Amino acid sequence: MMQRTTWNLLLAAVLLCAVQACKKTERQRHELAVSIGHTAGASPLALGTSLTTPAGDPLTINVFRYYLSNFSVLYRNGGEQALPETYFLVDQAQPASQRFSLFIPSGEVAELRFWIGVDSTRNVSGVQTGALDPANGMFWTWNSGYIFAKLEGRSAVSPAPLGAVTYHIGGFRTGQNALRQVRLVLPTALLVDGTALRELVLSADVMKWFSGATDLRLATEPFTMEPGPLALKVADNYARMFVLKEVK
Amino acid sequence: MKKKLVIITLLLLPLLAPLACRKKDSNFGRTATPVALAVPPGWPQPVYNVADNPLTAEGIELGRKLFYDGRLSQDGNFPCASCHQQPAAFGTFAHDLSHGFNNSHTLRNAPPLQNLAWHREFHHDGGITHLDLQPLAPITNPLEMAETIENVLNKLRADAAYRQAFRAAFGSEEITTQRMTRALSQFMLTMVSADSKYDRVKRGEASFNLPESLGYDIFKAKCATCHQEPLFTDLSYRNNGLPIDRVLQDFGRMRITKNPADSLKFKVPSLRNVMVTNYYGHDGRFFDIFQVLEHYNTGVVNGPTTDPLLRNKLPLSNFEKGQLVAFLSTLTDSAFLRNGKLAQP
Ligand code: HEC
Ligand code: HEC
Repeated sequence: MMQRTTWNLLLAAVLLCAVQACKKTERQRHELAVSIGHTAGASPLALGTSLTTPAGDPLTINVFRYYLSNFSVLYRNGGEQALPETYFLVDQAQPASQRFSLFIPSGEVAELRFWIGVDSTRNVSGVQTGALDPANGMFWTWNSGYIFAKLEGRSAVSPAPLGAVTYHIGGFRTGQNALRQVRLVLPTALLVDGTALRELVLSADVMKWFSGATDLRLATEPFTMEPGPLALKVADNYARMFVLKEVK
Repeated sequence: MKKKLVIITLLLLPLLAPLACRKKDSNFGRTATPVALAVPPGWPQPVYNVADNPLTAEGIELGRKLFYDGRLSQDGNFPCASCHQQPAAFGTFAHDLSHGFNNSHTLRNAPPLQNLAWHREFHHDGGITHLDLQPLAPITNPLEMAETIENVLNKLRADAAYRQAFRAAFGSEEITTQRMTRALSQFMLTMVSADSKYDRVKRGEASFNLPESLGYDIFKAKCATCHQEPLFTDLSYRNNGLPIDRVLQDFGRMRITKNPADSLKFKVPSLRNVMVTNYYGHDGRFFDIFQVLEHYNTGVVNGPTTDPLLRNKLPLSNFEKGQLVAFLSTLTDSAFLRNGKLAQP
C-alpha cells in the first residue's frame, strides 16, 4: 500500500517534469517587438512615386522587399543570445510584414544584431518553408540561392528596356557573399523582462542602396539579377540603411 | 505486477516527452508505408539525406503522378516526363536541345535521370544545390514549363485527388512547395540503375565477351578517371576540350562560380545507359557515340582550362573504338528502362 503511493507520487512527479520540459523554453522568453519604417531620404517611402537618388538620378520604386535573419541580442552584461530560426521577409507592399516579434530571455538589451539575407546553410539545404518558401519569389531557381533583397522600379536614365531598374541582390558562395550584418546599439540598455511589451522602432532608407560604400548611377548600372560584383556593391551600400529611431 | 507497469511507464516517459513537445506540423503519426532507398552493394553512401525526407510508398506514388502531370507546366503540355523519357533513361530521346513552352528550346541537353541520390549538385553546371530544389528550375523557366510555383500549387490544391494523395504521403492535405518537391524527389530517388550486364558481371552473374572485356580495359585506362565506377562519373566539373558554341555562349561552371578557372567546365556525365541517351554533350552537339569517341581521338581543343588528362588527346584506333562501344553497350540497363514502377501511372 505504502509502496504504491510512493510509486504513484513518483509517477506524478515525472509526468510534471516532462510537461515542464516542454514549456520551459517558451516560459523564460519575453517578446521584443521590432518595427521598420521605410523612407526615401527624409520622407516616408511610397511605391510608384517619383524620387531622386543621392546622385541625382530620377527613380520610381515599385518593389522593395528583403530578408532579415539570424537575429541576436547583446546584453549589457556582455552576453550574446542568438535567436535561431528568425527569418523575416519584409515587404513595403505588405505593412504587416514590417512588424514582427523576437522572443528573448530576460535581461538588459544593449544591442540588436541581424543579417540582411539568408545564411549559406539555408541556401543549400533543399526547399524551406514559411518566409523562406521559394514560392515567395525570392529564390533563384537555376543558380540555387535566395534573393536577399529586391528593388525594382523605373528610371528615365536607365538604358534597359522600359527604363527598368532591377536590383536582385544575393549570393552566398565564396567571393560572391552578399550577406551583411547590421548592428544597432541602443542609446541606453532596455530591460526586457515581460512586465511591459518592448519595441524597437527601426527605419530603413531605401536611398542608401545607391550611395555609401559606392555611388551607383542608374545610367550605367541599372540592373543585376545574379550574384556578382554589382550585387556586392549594393549590399555594401544597403548594409548601412538601418537606423534605430526609437525605443519603446 | 502493477509495480512493473509503473516502472515501465517511468522508463518510457523520457522517450515520450520529446514527442509530446513536437511541433504541430510534423508528420508524426502518419501511416505511410516506409520504403528503403536502394543502395547497390559496393556503392558509396548516397549524399541525399533521406532522414529529412523519408521515402514512403505513398510519397513515391505522389511523386510519380507529379512527374507525369502536364499541369506542372503553363499550357499543360510539358510535364517533367516530356523531356525526361524513360526509354532514354529519362533523358530526351534523340534530341540535341529539349523542347519546352511555346516552341522554345532549352539551353542544354536534358541529362538522363538516374542514381540521383549520389549527386550533390544538379545541372550541367552544378548550379542547383539540392535535388528538392531541382523541380523549381524547369517549372519557372520560361523556356521549359513557364509556370509560377504558386500557380502550380493552386492547381494541385484545387484537385481532390491530389489533396488525398498529399494526405496519404504527408499526413495532411496541405500542399506546399516543400511537400511537392519532396514527393518528386522521392520518385526520382527510385530511379536507380544498377542492373546492367556490367553490374551482373561485377556481381559474378555474367561474363564479358572478348570485345567487351577489351573495351573495359581501354575504358579503365583512358576514361575511368573522370567517368569513375560505379556511377561512371566522379561528379567533378571538367573541360573535356569542347570548343564553345558561338550562339549558345555557354561557359558552364563559370556561370555559377564566376571563376575564370571554371570556364567551359561541365559536370562529368554518367555513362550508364549511354547508348540510349544520344545526342551527347551538354548541348547535344554529338549525334552518336562514334562522334564522341572521335572527339577524344582528334577533336580535343586545348585551352587554358582543358583537363590535363586530355591535353594530348586520347588516341583511339577504329578497333579500339569498336571495343569501347561494345563495353559501353554493357551499361544499358533494360530492367531500368522498362521498369513499370517508373512508367506513367
Ligand atoms: C523542357 C524540358 C524539360 C522539362 C519539362 C523538365 N526538364 Fe529537367 N532538365 C532539362 C534540361 C535541359 C536539364 C539540364 C539543364 C542544365 O544543365 O542547365 C534538366 C536537368 C534536370 C535534372 C538534373 C540532372 C543532373 O544530372 O544534373 C533533374 C533532376 C531534372 N531535370 C528533373 C526534372 C523534373 C523533376 C522536372 C519536372 C518538374 C523536369 N526536370 C522538367 C529539361 C527539362
Ligand atoms: C578529363 C576527364 C574525361 C575523360 C578522361 C573522359 N571524359 Fe568523357 N566527358 C567528360 C566531360 C566533362 C564530359 C561532359 C562534356 C559536356 O557536357 O560538354 C564528357 C562527356 C562524355 C560523353 C557524353 C555523355 C553524354 O551523356 O552527353 C561520352 C559518351 C563520354 N564522355 C565518353 C568518354 C569516353 C569513352 C572516354 C574515354 C575514351 C572519356 N569520355 C574520357 C570528361 C572526360
